[in-house]
Amino acid sequence: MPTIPTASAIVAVGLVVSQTDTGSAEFSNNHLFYALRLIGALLVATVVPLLIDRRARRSSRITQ
Amino acid sequence: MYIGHVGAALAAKRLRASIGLFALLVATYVPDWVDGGLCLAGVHNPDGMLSHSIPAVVLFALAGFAVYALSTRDLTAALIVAGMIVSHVLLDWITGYKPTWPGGPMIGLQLYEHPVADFVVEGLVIVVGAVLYGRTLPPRRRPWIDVTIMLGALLVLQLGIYIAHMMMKSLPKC
Repeated sequence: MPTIPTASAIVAVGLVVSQTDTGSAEFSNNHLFYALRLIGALLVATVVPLLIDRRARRSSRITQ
Repeated sequence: MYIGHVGAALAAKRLRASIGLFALLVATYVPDWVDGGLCLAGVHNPDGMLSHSIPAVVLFALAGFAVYALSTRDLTAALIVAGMIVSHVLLDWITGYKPTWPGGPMIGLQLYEHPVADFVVEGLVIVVGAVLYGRTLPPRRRPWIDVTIMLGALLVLQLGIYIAHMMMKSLPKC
C-alpha cells in the first residue's frame, strides 16, 4: 500500500471534515426524500446493467 | 454526470474482463453513494465537499484500491477499480460544477444547465462504453442484440432522470 499518499489523503479529508459545519443542517423530510431519491437512482443505475449483463452472458452460453 | 458513469464502468470491463461488473458499477458511483449516505445521516455536505472534492475522491480511490487488492490479490484490477472511482469526479467536471478542495474553486462545465448538450455528452460516453462492453461478451450469433438492449436501457434511464428532475425541480439538496 502506498502509505504516504494514504496518510496525506486522510489528513486532507480530515481538514475538509473539520471545516464542515455538521451541526447546522436540519434533517427535514425534504432531505430524506432527496436522499432516498438519490439512493433509489443509484440502485436502479447499478441493478439494471447487472441484470442485462447476466441475461447477455446466460443467453450467450445457451446459443453456443 | 448521471448514467454516463455506467458507460465508464462498461468501458472498464473491456480493460480487464476478470473484474466483476458489480465492482465496477459500485466503484464508479462511490462519491454519489457517500453523498447519499451523508444526506441520510443528516451530515452537512456543502456542494459535495465530503464526497466529490479531490481529497475525498483520492481517499476513496485508495480505499477502493486497498479493498480490491486485498480481496483479489490482483493489483492491476485494483488500479482499474481505483481509477473508476477517480473517473467519477473527472466526468462530473464535464457535466456538473464540483468543489476542488476546502477554500478552493468550484470547477466544471455545468452542462446540466444545457440538457441537450448534457444528453449528447452522456450519450456519447454510454455508446462508447456499451460498444466496448459488447466485446467482453462471449461470441454468439447476433452479439449486437445485447449491446442494443444495454444501450437502450441506459439511454431510457438517462431520459427518466431528466424527467424526474424536471418534475422535482424545487426539491432542496442536502
